[in-house]
Amino acid sequence: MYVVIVGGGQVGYYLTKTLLEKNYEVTLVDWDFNKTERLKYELGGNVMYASGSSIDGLERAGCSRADVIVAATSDDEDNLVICQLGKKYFNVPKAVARISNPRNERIFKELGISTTISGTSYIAEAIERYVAKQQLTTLLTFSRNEMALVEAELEENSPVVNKTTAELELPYECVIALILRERNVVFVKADTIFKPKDLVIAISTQNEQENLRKILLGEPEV
Amino acid sequence: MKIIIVGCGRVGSKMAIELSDEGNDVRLIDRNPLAFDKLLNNFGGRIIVGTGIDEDVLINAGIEEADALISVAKGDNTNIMAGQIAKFLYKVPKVVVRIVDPKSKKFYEEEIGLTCYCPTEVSCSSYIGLLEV
Repeated sequence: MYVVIVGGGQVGYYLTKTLLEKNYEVTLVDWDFNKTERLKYELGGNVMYASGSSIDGLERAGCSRADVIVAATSDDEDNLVICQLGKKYFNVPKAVARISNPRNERIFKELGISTTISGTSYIAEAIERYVAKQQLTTLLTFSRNEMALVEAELEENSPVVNKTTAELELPYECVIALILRERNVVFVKADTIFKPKDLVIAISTQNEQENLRKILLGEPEV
Repeated sequence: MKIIIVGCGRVGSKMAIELSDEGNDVRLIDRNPLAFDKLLNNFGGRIIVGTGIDEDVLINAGIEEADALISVAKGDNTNIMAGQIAKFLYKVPKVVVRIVDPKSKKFYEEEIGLTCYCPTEVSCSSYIGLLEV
């Protein structure tokens, strides 16, 4: 199974890592040279510097033999073009588009791209479900929606603040991947201490999300 | 004619002024409010700040009753998306989009059915034409 992912931001990066762990063949394409150089440190030959919304770039990424193309950039117009070229020019059987403006879901559908994932919709739904602040935000779901990449913003009174990850009793089926602290990325080790305002990025099964939320954020204020 | 122009760059602003001077009802969209400075009060139409791929912005610009849409924003992909929304979702009778990349232009013209203008192709033949004077 060969997957071409366009867009090396957080979504594209984690998706690539996740699929590689599942032994898929993956190429992650981005047109920001600095970004691809950085990504290559970790993902090596699976990263390609190319324009993913051009025919030439997609050709180089091997789109003609891809089984799936994922458009994961932060710009909806780019994601539309990536998927249209993938599907109609390279005949890739499955095209998946990330979208930012939830109203584009309908537009993409009308224009032939039926599989869309809207982070904005997830967040809006989360807000509608709970008015409380202490929520996990789903960034991405995968493996037939069983797994989710989630983020949580810690507050002064979050139960994990000033604790290390070693002290947390995390469920088996979830992993804290990293922390975005101010403008830095902190890779989480056993002795990493959580601080207020940390943006914690974790991967969890849907079943354990509620436990993870309680551990990180405590009981919601209703 | 009611004409929507997406992108107030050099081309968009000049076209907006000319079409409006000819008596058309022109609505000009650009996401950068400073872009409209190019108009220097010579433009009699309406300006809308926003991106041309946002349905709300297009509706605000009157896409539902527009006779034509010309998309000349900076990025090809913006023009491609704005053009398809206008042509296939709102059935705007005349839609023209600028696509700088010739390969992409060919695909969108032949496979998707957009009417495209490719400045790369046009300027290439102009240069070559000038050489052979």
